[in-house]
Amino acid sequence: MTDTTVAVDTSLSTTEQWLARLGVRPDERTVTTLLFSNMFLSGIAIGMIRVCALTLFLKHFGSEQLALVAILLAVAGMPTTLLIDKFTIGFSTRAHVFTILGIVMGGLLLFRALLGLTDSTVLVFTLPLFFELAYMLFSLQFIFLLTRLLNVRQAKRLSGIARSGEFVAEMCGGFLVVILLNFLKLEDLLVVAMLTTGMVFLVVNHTTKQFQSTLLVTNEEIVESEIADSRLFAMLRLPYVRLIAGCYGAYMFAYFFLEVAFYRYASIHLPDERQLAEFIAQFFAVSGFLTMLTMVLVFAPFLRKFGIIAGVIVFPLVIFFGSTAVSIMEFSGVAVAAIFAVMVATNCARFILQAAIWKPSVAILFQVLPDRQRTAGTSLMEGVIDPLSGGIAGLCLYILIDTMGWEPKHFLVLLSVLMACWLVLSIFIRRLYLSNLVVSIQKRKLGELSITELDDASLDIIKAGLTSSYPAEIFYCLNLLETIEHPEITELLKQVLSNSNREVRMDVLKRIASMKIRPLIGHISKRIEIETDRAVRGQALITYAALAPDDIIEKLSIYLEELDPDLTHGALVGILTHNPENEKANGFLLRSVRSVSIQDRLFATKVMADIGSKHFSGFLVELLEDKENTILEQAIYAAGQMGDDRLINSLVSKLTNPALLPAASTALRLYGEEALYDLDQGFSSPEASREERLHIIDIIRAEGGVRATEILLRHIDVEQPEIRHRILLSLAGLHYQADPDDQYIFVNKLDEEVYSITWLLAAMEDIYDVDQYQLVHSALCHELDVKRDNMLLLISFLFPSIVMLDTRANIDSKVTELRIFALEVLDNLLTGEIKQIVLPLLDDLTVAERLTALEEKFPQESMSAENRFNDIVESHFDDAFFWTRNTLLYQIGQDRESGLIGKVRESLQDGEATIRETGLWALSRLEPSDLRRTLQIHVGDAHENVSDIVRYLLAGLPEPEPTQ
Amino acid sequence: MLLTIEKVLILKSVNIFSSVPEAQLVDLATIVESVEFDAGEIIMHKGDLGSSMYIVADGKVRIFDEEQELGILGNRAVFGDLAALDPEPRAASVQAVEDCTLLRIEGESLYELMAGNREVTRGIVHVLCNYARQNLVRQK
Repeated sequence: MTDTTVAVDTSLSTTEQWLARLGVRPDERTVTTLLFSNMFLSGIAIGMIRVCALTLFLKHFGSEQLALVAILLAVAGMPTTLLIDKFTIGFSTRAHVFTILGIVMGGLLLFRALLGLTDSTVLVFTLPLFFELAYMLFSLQFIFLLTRLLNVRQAKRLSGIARSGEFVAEMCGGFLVVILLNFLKLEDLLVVAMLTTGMVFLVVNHTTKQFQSTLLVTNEEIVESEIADSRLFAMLRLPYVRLIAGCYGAYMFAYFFLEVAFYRYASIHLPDERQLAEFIAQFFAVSGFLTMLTMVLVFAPFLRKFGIIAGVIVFPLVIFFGSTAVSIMEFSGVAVAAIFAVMVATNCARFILQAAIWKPSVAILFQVLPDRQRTAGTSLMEGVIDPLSGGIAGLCLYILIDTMGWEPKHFLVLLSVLMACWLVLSIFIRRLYLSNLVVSIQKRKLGELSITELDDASLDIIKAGLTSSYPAEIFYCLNLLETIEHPEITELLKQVLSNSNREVRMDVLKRIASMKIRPLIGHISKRIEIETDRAVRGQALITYAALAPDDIIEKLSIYLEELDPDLTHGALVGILTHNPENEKANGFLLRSVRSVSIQDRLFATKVMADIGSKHFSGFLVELLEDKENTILEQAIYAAGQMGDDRLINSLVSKLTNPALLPAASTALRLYGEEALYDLDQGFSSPEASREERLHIIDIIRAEGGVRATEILLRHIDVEQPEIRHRILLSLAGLHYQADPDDQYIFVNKLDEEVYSITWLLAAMEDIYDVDQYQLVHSALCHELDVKRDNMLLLISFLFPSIVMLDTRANIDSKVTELRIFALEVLDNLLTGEIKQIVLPLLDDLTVAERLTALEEKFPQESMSAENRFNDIVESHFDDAFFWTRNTLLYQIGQDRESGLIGKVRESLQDGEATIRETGLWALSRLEPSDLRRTLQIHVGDAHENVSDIVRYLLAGLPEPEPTQ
Repeated sequence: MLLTIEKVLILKSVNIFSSVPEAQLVDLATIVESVEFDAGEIIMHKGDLGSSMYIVADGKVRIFDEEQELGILGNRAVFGDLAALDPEPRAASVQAVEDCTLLRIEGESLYELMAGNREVTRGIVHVLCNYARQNLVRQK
């Protein structure tokens, strides 16, 4: 069961239960009813017009003349649609739909009046044309409302039901015609059509009032409509739309070819006008009934099981077999009655499939496009491709029948070829449908400046930016020039070196050092002399050394005697970078390392960080054991810069200190793959805290690569759920894809995750209404969110990673459309087995509905709130998130649940300080006889908060009675 | 004495932190300081340089500027948040109306939390926007 059906709540009435089984959710009943009514009444009107028009037509003309009708439809239909579009720009939805219905009503009035005045054959000839136009207009107004009222997911579930109204009407109308013809003239069926069209007006009026806000026409839409004409044809530039248009064109050929063949056989078999009218009416009644059943019962489950591709291929597939069969039977000389039966069956299948499967599928195909293209696309099909290809089909038929003298058995072969082409196009449509879905949910990425092809004008602007008064602008321009390796970079840096801003000068000096621009040695030397800012001057010394002139030692040594730390720093870094063995500089550095002054030790770490050479790691080891956090932090940074593998272990051990965590993480990341072994060891250490492990995972993830992935996979079954989630998150971040041989492992994990989610849902449902458990409920809710995320992350290991991660990012989007598309991607990419357990947890269902949807695979029992609380503590405590354990202990303490004291005692040994703290407090609330003794054991807890609370609790205990 | 879990619940009820998952507030809760004031005691003087914010965990405090009373704050109310974000002399004085317990959060801790949690940053931006809006209304 997936989101395309709704879990059935047994407390609902029978009708409601049936609607739920059909996939209609409670909040969708009104819209479904209104759309159904619209289609039903339209269907009655269509049925009446059809019987009247075709019977009169076939009385005066041969069925092959219908080809001319198709040509005329192309001439009249397309301009009518475009005129309506143009005329209704800026109209409200109601006015727009009323205009369409008004045209139908006007036409009905006119034709009925004329049929009373004249029996002209021209008038009779135009009747089927009017029928086709009316059919198109009824369809246009319905699709206009449907695409605005339903999203793509709703359309998949509900459009079949809503559209089935037309065929309930075909069925009722067909039988009604037989009865009515006993009392009315054939032409009076148009009056019945007028009455039902009037009722459609009323339904539309009610619909637009009921869904006023949803149907509001925005200014943007008005502007879009104003360019609609050009936009409609521009849509054909999209390959996706071209493919759909191709199939739609083929569908129109099938429609006319089969209609002509069908009426040809019908008029031969039933020469009597009344018999023919009754046959046509009954044919449409039966076809309508079958169509209705297909729409209501088959469409949604069919698409759910086989996907949108099934909606696209089933029509050509069936028609291919049907028309081929008729042709073969004709050529083989099979009995005429048998051929007629196959013809009727094929046309009946065409009738059912076009309405129940193909047309709703077309609407769904367009719903993955952005708003503007969606509206334009559906208008293009209904208003342009439909009549145009109908016209071409008619022209072809006219030429084939009248000029070339082809029989149905001939042109049905042509139709079979066309259907085969359609089947080929379907493969590409499915591919593009998916890629459009994916594009719809992809994150909008900021555009990047392409700097490889900067023109001279752009370069001039960038060079001018170097004289800006804003340092950030200068840095940006320098970055660009450095990246493109501009030939004038040396000259430009020389100019910027004299910038009035110290930050700019500092930056330029660093760039010169890193790029080792030796031609600027003289300028750097001069800068050392004239620079007034001490820090910049210090950097100038470092830069000078980096350019390796011959006089480094003698020029820089004199600055070692300076009292100014910036200059000493610069000189020391410069000398030791050039010659790490320099005795004088080494001595200076060692004195600083071992100095009692914090400032000196800090100075030493900064010097070593700037040198960044392994040569000095021996000195750094001493500073990595310093007692001062400030020194430690800087020493860790220096260790990162040095890149000496021997320091990794020490850095990993620093992760245990929360104050040093950020610095240690940054330093370890600089080591790359070299750090992975020690990080793995650190993670596996039993002493490693939750926080430490989380940081180790982050560092491993930042490193990336095969080894990092292997380490993460090795720890994927770690007990702590918070860490497990972070591992999954990291693997997904690395776009891990499971080997085909390993996929079953992740499918099993997915199953476990869904089971766990189902249990959480049941537990949350049981305690939801009870105030005292709100805290626990909220904690479980957080767990649920994380587990749901785990589920999506696991899916990303099994299916295309980037697509799945984009889906994950949008699944909870507040933009409904993005969320709907994300669900649609899952619906299209996941296997049936996975879809069945995953979609009920992601779709908009109530907890009860989710549980019902999953009860077959993961049954859950309902409990009283108290029993459920006990169940949570007994069965979930050990696997729960640390915050959930905290809230459970707090609740036990609040409620003085003595029966659960076992868990409270266990919690006192927990690795998390806050759990021990809450556990001790809860124990004090339960007042066991050994409370004082237990508290005294924990008074020396390593964590200050815990020992504080123990002392506080002990202070509140009554004095122990003196022993006798 | 407040348990860490109780501090988390108090923090969670404050606008700035309302969107932060409780599990992430534990880190902050372990470093916030629980401070108690007797009725009538001055919590801060106008003009003092401040870099911490306070949340009223229990009790009531009065905000005043010399003789003018600016308001009374009760449970879960926050004051000094701007000073925590940008140290500055206090704009008004605050006095305990009754015996009260406050949670004090240092600006530095707040910044650390912001660095690792965008929900906190979002909450703070939300509070700052509210101040800006209030100022606009006053100016009108």
